[in-house]
Amino acid sequence: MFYYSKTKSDNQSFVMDVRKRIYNQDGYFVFKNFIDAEKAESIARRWSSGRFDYEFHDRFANSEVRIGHPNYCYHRPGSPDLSYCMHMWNAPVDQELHSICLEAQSLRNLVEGRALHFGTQLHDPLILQYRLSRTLSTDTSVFPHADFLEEPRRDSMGDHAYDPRRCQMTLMLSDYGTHYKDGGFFLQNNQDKQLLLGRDVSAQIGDLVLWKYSNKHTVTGVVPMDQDLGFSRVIFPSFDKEYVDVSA
Amino acid sequence: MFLPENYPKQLSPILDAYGAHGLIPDYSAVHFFDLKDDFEALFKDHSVKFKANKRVLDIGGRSIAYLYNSKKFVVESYEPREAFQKLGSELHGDNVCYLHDLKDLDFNQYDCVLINIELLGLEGIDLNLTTLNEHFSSGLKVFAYRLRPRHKEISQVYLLGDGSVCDESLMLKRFKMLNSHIHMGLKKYEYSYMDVFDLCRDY
Repeated sequence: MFYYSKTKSDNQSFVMDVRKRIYNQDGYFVFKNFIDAEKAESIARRWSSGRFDYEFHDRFANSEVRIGHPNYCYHRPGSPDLSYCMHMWNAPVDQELHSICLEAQSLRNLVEGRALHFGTQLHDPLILQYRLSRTLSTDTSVFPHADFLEEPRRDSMGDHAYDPRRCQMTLMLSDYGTHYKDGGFFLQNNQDKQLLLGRDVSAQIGDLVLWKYSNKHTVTGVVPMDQDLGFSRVIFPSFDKEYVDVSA
Repeated sequence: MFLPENYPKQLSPILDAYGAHGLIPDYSAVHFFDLKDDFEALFKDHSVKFKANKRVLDIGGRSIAYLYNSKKFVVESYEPREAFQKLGSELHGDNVCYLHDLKDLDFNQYDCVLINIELLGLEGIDLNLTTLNEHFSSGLKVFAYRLRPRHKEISQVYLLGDGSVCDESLMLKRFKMLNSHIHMGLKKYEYSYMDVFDLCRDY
């Protein structure tokens, strides 16, 4: 998608425009059709079917994760909800999903002004984990909070010092109004207004939403219309190398 | 921009300005006022005696934190990076005048010269910069400084907040040229958010 020789010249003005939208104007930017809608739905369906011949470990708390740990899965807030958490240090379970996630990470790196493959190598100060989640429960699965805003953390992935540079991404694997309704991912924009992705922000299946991590966000109120997909998405947390690398 | 409760409210429009110019609100931006304090401490520690109209030559000053909200300084700045220049103009208005190049400068008109050595790592910069020290006279206060990143860089070549590429080995090679007049050991001072090198010809 991005050739490094083009990064600085052709893409730089586009990247600066995206930064203006995220850091100054809206608090988010939607990359439309980051993957095809059909492709996104196909990924969501094969992951929701649970047919993979792969054993996910029981949940690790964020603070327990160490380099070398297996991929893990948890069910929150209820048993029908799924979150598959996959680390850079393990072989990909799904090479197609893995490639898409690496591409998304490159995009975030361009916006955050980092090297193109930052976060995908074990010597990086931050190491990516991608997390495919499906929410069917109406209960709150992510309580309202802002990251890197020096809010107290019970279960941290690393240093939470103020860092407005940090962005998080949501890759939409289902559609508001088709697969779920009423709730989903709510994000506070830079004007302090709460927006629901899919309803207030045009973000459809296959779109990648890059948003300012230090703006308050929550996942709640999902009413599933499709009992397999519900609200499905991939998010991209990063762990501080200092926290997960006990050998360092 | 949203701030933690314990951060000064004045920081919010500064970080907004970074974003408005397509720049990253990075570690140095977040510590804008801490850098201001560091510069003020530097001036105090090294008894920089400013004349009535406190003239500073600032090379690669990025946002020139020490100038913020101060009517005391008259700054001439050489900042070839367009986005940082626009940011500086927005934050400091008429208090800073941007130079097109470093040719034919009369250094005696300045009380202090500040050089951000990050500029030395960029390819295609004005190479006159590396021989500036030919013009430093005794008594002129000259300091090179380096902003400290959040994470120590693990590479020799890395990206800066405007997308420009900084080559560390090029920076050090050029810095050697810039401090070639120092024969008794380069003095380094550590402040909270930057390292400072004394380039004064005072011995």
